[in-house]
Amino acid sequence: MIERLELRNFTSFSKLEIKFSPRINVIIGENGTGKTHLLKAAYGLCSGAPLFKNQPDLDENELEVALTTKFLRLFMPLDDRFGKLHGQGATDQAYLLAQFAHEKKVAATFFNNSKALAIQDRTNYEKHLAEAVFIPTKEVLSFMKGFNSLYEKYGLSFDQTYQDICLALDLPEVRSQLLHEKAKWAMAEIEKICGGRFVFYGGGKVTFKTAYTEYSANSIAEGFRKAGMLSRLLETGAIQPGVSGPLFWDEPESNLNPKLLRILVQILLELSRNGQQIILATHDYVLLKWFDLLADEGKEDHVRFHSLYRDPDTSEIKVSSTDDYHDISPNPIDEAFGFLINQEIENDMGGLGK
Amino acid sequence: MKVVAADGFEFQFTDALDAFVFDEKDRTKPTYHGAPMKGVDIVAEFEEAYVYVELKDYDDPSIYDVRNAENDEQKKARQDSFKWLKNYLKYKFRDSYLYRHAEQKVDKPVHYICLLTFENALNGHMQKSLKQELPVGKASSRWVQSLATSCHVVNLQKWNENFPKWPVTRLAGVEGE
Repeated sequence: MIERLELRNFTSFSKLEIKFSPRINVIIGENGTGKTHLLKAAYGLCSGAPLFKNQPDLDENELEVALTTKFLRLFMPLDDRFGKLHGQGATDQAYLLAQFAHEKKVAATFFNNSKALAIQDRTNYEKHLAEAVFIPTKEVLSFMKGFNSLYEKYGLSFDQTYQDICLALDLPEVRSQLLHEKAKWAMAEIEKICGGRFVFYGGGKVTFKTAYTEYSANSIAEGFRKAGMLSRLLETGAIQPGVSGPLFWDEPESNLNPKLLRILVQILLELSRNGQQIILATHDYVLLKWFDLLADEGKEDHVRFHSLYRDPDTSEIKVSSTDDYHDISPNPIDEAFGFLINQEIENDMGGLGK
Repeated sequence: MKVVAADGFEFQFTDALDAFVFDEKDRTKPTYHGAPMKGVDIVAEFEEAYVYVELKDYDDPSIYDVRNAENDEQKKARQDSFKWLKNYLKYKFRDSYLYRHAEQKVDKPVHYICLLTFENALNGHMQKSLKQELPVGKASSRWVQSLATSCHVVNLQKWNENFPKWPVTRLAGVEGE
């Protein structure tokens, strides 16, 4: 579980510190306020888990190389120059810190001419073994066949979250009796919504099976493919409440019918109640509101809303966090509804009151 | 300028011909309502229109406090608070319009503005429902005039943003939004 992220002079962030809820975190903000960058930075710093799992005796140099590669592949800076991730115009070094539960942390720095990250602190980082999952905005079931080998061979213009998710989806499924009870419930709910289930044959081959027949995954609605990704991640144990690292999800609402957002939020809340930390970014009012309406204090739900915004005086990106939906400020999602109200008043009442 | 205080808010209608508490309960005042009908909180008259204003504070416990409902029927109504509030706002307008008809004061377009302390998205939803049910505009081909010309549901911030000539503030001692 990631408790705190600090970014200084990194991409568009001059100085940002965000404290995460161990349960659900919802990040909002207008375009260009760095929601996806924040998710990717946190995810990148979580990537020590798979590294140490594969190589427990990883030394500092190897860790620096591995994290640098990860960040290059996640952020894809111009001409693959790592120094481009340094905040434009900043004179101090870039600094990234992730504090994890149980006194584990990693901190690293770099300059605009650096070719790699320099680790500054890796206290107990090698003990951080819970792997994170990042679900990117686009669904991948429609193009994951052969994606990994193409990605490795040709360096496709997708950031690495797409490769990572394709690999996670292609993992073998966990035996049913070992699956978390709530994971099984969520998978069953998704199957009900979709009217069938996605079947993964390995190598990225995916089909969709109903009780009567089998279809190409490409012939199934995009929203269902997105829900199918969540189901598969539960089936493979990539998301395993209480065991896996944070689930990062960039715009879960994209491609989804707004009517499906209620069950999606119910699923996310159930997973969080069972120990799954969730960090998502959204532009969607319905998704945001369902968290407000369905979160149940009696079940110890905890939803923290983080609003990213540009300071009107300095243009720096800042974050305002609150555990109370009604205190979200600024709230660009609700402001968008406010603009509609303004226009209706102007249309109906003209200059009255102005 | 007409200054009107109602339900913890103070309005300054800087360009109004008249503005007063419409559901006035004080018998000694000339604007005493005195009819067995519901009434909006404020009516303001301008050169070209009448504006009805109804105020409802989201945090008002008497409306939303399900636990302290007097009876099961009230409890059920409060649980369905959105629908309840919509009906409340609807019938307040209709009764007020009838009352104004009896006063022969429906000779200009009537705009209905509800000041609710909801977020914009929910206000937009309420507005859509209210517009359909008031109804706004000519609801039938037989009508030659509308009851309500328009209906808007806004929070305090939106009110002040859209009606700078009618600034509204919370009165001291009333909890802020």
